[in-house]
Amino acid sequence: MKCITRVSMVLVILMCASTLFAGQWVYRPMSINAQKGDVILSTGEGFIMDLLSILGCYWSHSGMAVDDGYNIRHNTMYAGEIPIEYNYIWFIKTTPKRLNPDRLANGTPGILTEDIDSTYNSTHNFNAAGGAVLRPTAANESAYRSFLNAAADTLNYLRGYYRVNAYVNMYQLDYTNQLVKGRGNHCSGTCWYANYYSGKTMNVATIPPALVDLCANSLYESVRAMVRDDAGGFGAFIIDIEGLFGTGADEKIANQIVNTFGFDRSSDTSSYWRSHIGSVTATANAPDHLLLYNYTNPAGNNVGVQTDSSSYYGQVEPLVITDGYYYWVD
Amino acid sequence: MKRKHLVIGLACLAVAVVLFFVFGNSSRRTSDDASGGEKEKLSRLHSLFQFMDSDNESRPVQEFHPDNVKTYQIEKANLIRDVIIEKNPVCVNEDFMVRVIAKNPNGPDEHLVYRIQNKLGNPAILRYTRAGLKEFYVVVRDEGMHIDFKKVQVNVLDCPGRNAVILRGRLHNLKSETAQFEVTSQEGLAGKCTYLWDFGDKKKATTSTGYVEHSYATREQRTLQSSFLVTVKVIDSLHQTAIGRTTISFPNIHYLSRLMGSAVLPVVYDQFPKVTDNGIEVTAVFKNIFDEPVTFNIAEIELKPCIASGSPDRRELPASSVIGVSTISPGATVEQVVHVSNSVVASSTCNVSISLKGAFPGNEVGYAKLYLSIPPRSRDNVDFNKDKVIEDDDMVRKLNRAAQILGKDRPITPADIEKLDREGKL
Repeated sequence: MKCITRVSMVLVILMCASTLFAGQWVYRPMSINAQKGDVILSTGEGFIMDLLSILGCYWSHSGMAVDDGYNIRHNTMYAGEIPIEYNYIWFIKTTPKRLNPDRLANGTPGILTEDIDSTYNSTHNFNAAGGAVLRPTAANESAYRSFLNAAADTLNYLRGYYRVNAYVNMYQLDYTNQLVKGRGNHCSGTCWYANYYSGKTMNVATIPPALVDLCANSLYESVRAMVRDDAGGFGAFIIDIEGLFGTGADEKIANQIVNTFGFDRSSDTSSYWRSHIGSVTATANAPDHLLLYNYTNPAGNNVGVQTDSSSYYGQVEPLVITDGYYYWVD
Repeated sequence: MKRKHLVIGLACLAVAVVLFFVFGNSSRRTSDDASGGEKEKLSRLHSLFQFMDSDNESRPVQEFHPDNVKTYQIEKANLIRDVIIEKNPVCVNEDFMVRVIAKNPNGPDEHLVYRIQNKLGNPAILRYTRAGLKEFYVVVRDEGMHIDFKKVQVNVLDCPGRNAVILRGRLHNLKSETAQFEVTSQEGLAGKCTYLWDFGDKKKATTSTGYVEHSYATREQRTLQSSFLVTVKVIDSLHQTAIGRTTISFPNIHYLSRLMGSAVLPVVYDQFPKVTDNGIEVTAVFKNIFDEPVTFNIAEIELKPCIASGSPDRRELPASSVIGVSTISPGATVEQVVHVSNSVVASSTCNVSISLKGAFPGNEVGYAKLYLSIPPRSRDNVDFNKDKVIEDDDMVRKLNRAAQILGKDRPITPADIEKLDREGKL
């Protein structure tokens, strides 16, 4: 009897095992035509795009491939997640006052790694249309690839907040893998630092005060318009603060964002920037500034500030996404 | 007793600090000339105190000289002659066209780049969702350092009871040359509707739903951007009609690639090649968007194994061994089979990149690139570190159903699932 029970148990186990290994569906993730260390450029909508277009830029976001096309590491801010602070009268919440200053100055998630599926399909931090891969020229590929691999390894180590103020002063990312308040960068500044900390100092654009003034005014108008009618965002991410419409908070928040952009005064909702922005010179790279100086971007401008000696990146190629797929394996 | 422990503790700490400074510094100083054993000893001691020695301090600080960097200054110029608004005032949710008339005193008018409100291209279709006096900017730039902008006002009114279709167009998340169009709202129409689409590139379609995707991959690329006016005519069961419009603009990255390194020609192909007894093959459409003929003479092939830890294999073959037609005339579109033989593609290969390298007249290099996927052909070739086994029962059911419809030998993409789901077939 015991023997029969044992034999039948073995048979049941074998049947289960054969069912388990009869086959299964497996998903192979998406990838892009980038190699480790290449910079990925992306377009987007929103007030940062509006601001950068004043500078003649076309791309609004950038990140770096940290392996052969399956993951991108980049720096971004989910502006929609910044808490709104309200006025209170006798402990009763009334009108919106401002965005949380700490979260505006130190944007999260900051530097993060996303796989291609997530970043192009879920979070939409990157967009395929208008996307491009910045890489060495074919002639320099073998000579430069090891340096770019090192830059990607460096970026894998780095952590930092997204800093709106980095559009005016880019020199604020430390060689650390800790989040430090008041330190961090924006997207292309982070790519720049990945190269810098691995031994390559790329050129940096200097934006004269007149142009910074124009950008600040554009930023102010875009944020107000966004609050009143449309949506916009940081980098690629959409902010939706329509609830502020008609409360008078639109002007305050527009001021707050421009004060943060120009002066890192994230708690200031006054029009401080209007009387001070005229003397500000910005030292920062937008994604387009990572291009060679003689390259024409899709907005028709030669915005890049790099030379053959300041950058490993000499070729802009259209982005190609190789779709992920499910396959059956026996 | 407690005091004794404290004194001993402090003494140990003092000795540790002294050791750290002595050995820590000497390990740096002597790292070049120390012999192997000494080096190991020093590094072991140094590593004991590594928590005190941040990586920041050991990094050289480089000086920046922003003044030495070339600055970028743009100037206001008189480029905009007129801004024509199709209708003013307009209704809430009513689309209206804005066309900018501009002149380029510094070069050809075709080199001007337009941004109307937040839309690239000219003309642009705009729409507002709330009534009131609205303002937006029109920005025009040339290829140099000149910019012109103008603030435009439009009065938006509430118009109750009017037939309206809101058509939204956006560039596809994953297919860079494809646009998605969707009727997001339709008012005043009844019953089942038919949608007649005009994509603005001389191609049309009819659908029974208000959603469609359209590829502009083989468009002409002779300027920095290509803009298209897309129209949908919606006919309801009572033969009432309403029209929705939008504009879509594509950056011509292939056209620009020639200005940013080397020219890359657009190629349209199925990502999954047919695996035959002789090798792999795929039908591809090559478009020469340039004014000169291009002749491909080399095929650089990279073969990546299914297991990511394996090394890729690279081959260089004559282009004629991969494609039949190697010369493409200016502006021509050529459809042909791309073939790579079994002697090149191993059975453990999952990714094949084919880079056809050729020359324009004047020795300028041009490329056409294909990125192909071959699903693992056996369980041994599955990279379980990268690929994920599907364990969700509902997903497995959908995949089984999709495989019945599409065929089990064919890989199934998330887009296939989405499409079948939308059609109610899953």
